[in-house]
Parts: sequence; structure tokens; C-alpha cells
Amino acid sequence: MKSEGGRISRRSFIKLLAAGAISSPISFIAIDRSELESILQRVELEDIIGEAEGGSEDYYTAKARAKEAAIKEACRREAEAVCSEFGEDSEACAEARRRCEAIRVKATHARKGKRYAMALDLSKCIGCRRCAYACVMENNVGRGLGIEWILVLETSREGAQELEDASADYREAPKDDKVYVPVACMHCEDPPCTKVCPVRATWKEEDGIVVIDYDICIGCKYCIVACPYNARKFNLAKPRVSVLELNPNMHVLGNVPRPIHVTEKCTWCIQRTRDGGVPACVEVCPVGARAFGDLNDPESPIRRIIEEYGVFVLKPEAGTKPRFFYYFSGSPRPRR
Amino acid sequence: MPTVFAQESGISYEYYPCSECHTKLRPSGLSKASEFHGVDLGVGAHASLYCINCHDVDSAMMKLQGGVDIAIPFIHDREDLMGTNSLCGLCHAREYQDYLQLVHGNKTITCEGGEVYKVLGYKGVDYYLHYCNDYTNLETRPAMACVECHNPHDPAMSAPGVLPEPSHRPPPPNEDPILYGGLPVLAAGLALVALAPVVHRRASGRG
Repeated sequence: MKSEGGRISRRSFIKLLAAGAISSPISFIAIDRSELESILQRVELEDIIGEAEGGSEDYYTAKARAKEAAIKEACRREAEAVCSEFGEDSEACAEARRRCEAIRVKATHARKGKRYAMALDLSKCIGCRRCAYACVMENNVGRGLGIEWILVLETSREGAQELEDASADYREAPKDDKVYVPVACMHCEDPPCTKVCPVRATWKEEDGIVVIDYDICIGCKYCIVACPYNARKFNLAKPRVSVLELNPNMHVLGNVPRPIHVTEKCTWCIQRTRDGGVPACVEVCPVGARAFGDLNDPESPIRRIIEEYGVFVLKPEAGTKPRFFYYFSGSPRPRR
Repeated sequence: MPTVFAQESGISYEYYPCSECHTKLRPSGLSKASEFHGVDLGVGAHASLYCINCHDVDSAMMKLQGGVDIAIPFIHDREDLMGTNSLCGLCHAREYQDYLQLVHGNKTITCEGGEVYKVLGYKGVDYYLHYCNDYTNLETRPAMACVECHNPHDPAMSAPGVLPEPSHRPPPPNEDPILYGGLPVLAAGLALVALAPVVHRRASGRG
């Protein structure tokens, strides 16, 4: 393009300019702005200021809303299948539809100043496993996966009580020479499981509940190995719960239906306790062996138990400082 | 005047006005058994008590000590039954305080528009799910009165049955073990080891 001793001719300069205008992105914006605006998303000033002030809804509220819509949609599809099987005006059909509409996915945040803890009276526990079954129902744990968040262990009353020697497969209970120790997530003050997570999918909330974000979890199982209490379980298959057994009260960090290949565990029924209730295991216990409360409240059941009876924890040598306490009230245990 | 269910009396009265008999008989309350009511304090955890320890003799045994009205499970509603809790608390002060602070006994949650519905749940065991309007304002309170769990005339409870043991995890999906080529690779490796001196000698001989 050069000619006449290094100088650029007018003709070749215009050619160069045209080639540059076609290839340069800057000139592209100048040329076709309207088309570009259809591709790129414009950021409005109001949005930036609103997010900085925390005015718009946060990440988990938005996620809870999206999950509620998705779960309701899936539930309605299943309800339609029920309706076509049993007929439009059947009782099962109406019940399935009613339960789909009742589904609520919450993202209730930790209440200020709360510090939850649970206590269990080993004098009273009869090892009936009703807590484990209620937990499965309340938390929409997939059926047929062999996962139960609460494991009731039977240990000897005499001698050294090693948890390694404990059995979970007893068929007769209660026996006079046995102690029954239900074990679930201890919600430790110093949880080792949260430290090993490579993607920070699990953490301890302000009110003491250790939660998992199932959408971040990559299923590496490090936390399962790190937990000294065998409290974490793994989904080897997609958890399935029938629409007629689904618990409509859900929390986005708790009992919302899980995807495949994630870790799950007890959340102290976050969907109940954050809103003032007690966990399902506490409600269902036929002998009233369990209690749940706020450590900061002097009138709470937990404070009463610590002051009146004194408590201990499992595996104190692990140094995890569990917030799940065991105690012996000395009350006579119901016999068969 | 409350009515009472005469248990196993052998007499064919079921609901009967208490005052009909009580005002005429004027029971002293110093006995330990009443065949008509099916009560025998000679056995059970309250074997050391007499009728008069809980029932009020001045009202012809138709009230409890301290003027508390008699309430009977399945006949009276829960509010009336809760009224008798304070009488239990006279002797069982520690348990009563535990009960008030939601330590002893069953707890339940209530909510706005609340109801429970039974579902046939995990492994065929019944479960009661809560139905609320929005599940945001739950309240915890004692589920039952003392006398709903403990029969006051025989307060020791018997344990309910045990549910089936936890099912073991299904075996992991059947995947072929990773063989990295298996036998051919092993044979090739062994051949390489065996032929290495020959190859080396040839190479060095040529050099």
C-alpha cells in the first residue's frame, strides 16, 4: 500500500481506514449500537444503588422463590398423574392438589441473639427409633436410599461404653442392661466438617445451626470423613419422595428436596426452629426424652437441664465442642 | 357436675352423675381401692397413697385437693385436663418445673390456621404432618396434660414398641473395575523387562 517513497497515498489511506473500521470493536460499537444493546444487558443506576443498600431481596430469598416454583411445578405434574390414575373427583386427587398448593420454601434467616442447643435424657430413651422415622418424614429424605439422619445406638450399661461396640440393629427394646444413644449432627461449636469443604458449601450459621448449600456441594465427601459422629449422609441416587408424603414446610438450606450426589444431614429442623417451633424428633418422642432451646435464654429448656441435671457430650476428646448434650435425669425408664 | 366413667365396675352404668352416690355414701377417702371405679392403689407407683391424698373429702370426693375440678381424659377437653397439672406438681415439683419449661413430656407446635394430617410414611409408619398458612409464626407448648400420659391411679408408663431397624445402604452401582488394559499391558511390561538387556547390548555394541 505504500508508494512514492514511503508516503501513504490518499486512496490507500481510505482503504486502510475502511478495513480498520470493520475489524475494530470500538468502531463496531459506534456503528451498530442498537444491535449491541440487544445482546448486552444494561446495568441501571437504580439497581447498583439498591444492591449496595441491601434493598433488594438477598440471594437465598431469591433462590427459595425459584425452588418453590420448581417444586410446585414438579408436584403438580405428579398430582396430575395421581388424578388421571384415580379419577378427577377422587379424594386422592383433591388431596394431592391441595398439598402441592401448600408447599412453602422459606429462607428464614438466623434470629439475632439466638444460640440453639439440644439435650437428650439417656435415662428415659427407650430406643424406639420414632425420632429417626419422624426425621425422615419431616425432612423429605429420599426413600429407599438407606439414609436416616438419626441413628439410635444400643450400648452396654456396664463396663466401658465404646461407641465402636454399639449396635444399631437391635430388634427388642428397651432392655434393662442397655443404654440407647441416638446420634445425629452435633452442630459443633468448632465443626471440622466445614473446615475441610473445598468449595465452602457448608458453614455454621449465627444461631449455631450447621447448614449445607446443596447447590454448591460437589459431592467430594471430605466432610463425611471429617465428621467424628458419622452424622453426614450421601445421596447415591436421586432422592424421591411421593407427593402425598412430601412435607410442605421447607427451608432452602434444610429439607428442600436434594439433588443427586450431595451430602445431607440434620439441620435441627431449620424450617421449624427458625420460626419458633421445635424439631420433629422432639415433638414425636413418646417419652419426652428430648429438649430443644436457646442457650442465651435463661428460661429455656436447655438452661434448665444444664443447671438442674448437668450435661455431657459424646467424644469430647475430638475437641469439636458439640452443642448436642446428653444427660441422665435419673427418672425411671418405661418398661415393656 | 362432671360425669365419671365407672371402669370395670360390673355394674352396667357408664356415665353416671357422681353426686347421686357420693352425697349419700360420703366416702371417707381412707381406703386404697374402689371396685366401682376400677381403681386399686395397692399396686403401681402410687402404692403409698390413699384416695384422700389427691381427692377432697369435703366435697364428697368430687373435687381434687385445693379445689381443682376433676378432669378425665377423652371426656373433658385439654384445657380442663391442664387444670389438674398443678395437683401433680405438689409432690413432683422437679418434674412440674421441667414440664413448665418444656423439658419433661411431649412438646408440640401450633400455628395460624394450623391442623395436622396423618400420612402413611416411611416404611409404612404413620406420621402427622403440620399444615399451616405460612409456617412463619410457630409456637411451642406442652402437647399434653400430665394425666393424658400418666394414669394418676397407675402412673408408671409402659414403653411403646420398637420400630424396624435401619435399612442398610444399597450396594453402590455395579461398575466394572478399572483395569488399565489388564493382561496385555502386564505382558508387554514383562516383555520389556526381559528384553531390556538385549536391546541395551545391541545399542551399545553399535555405538
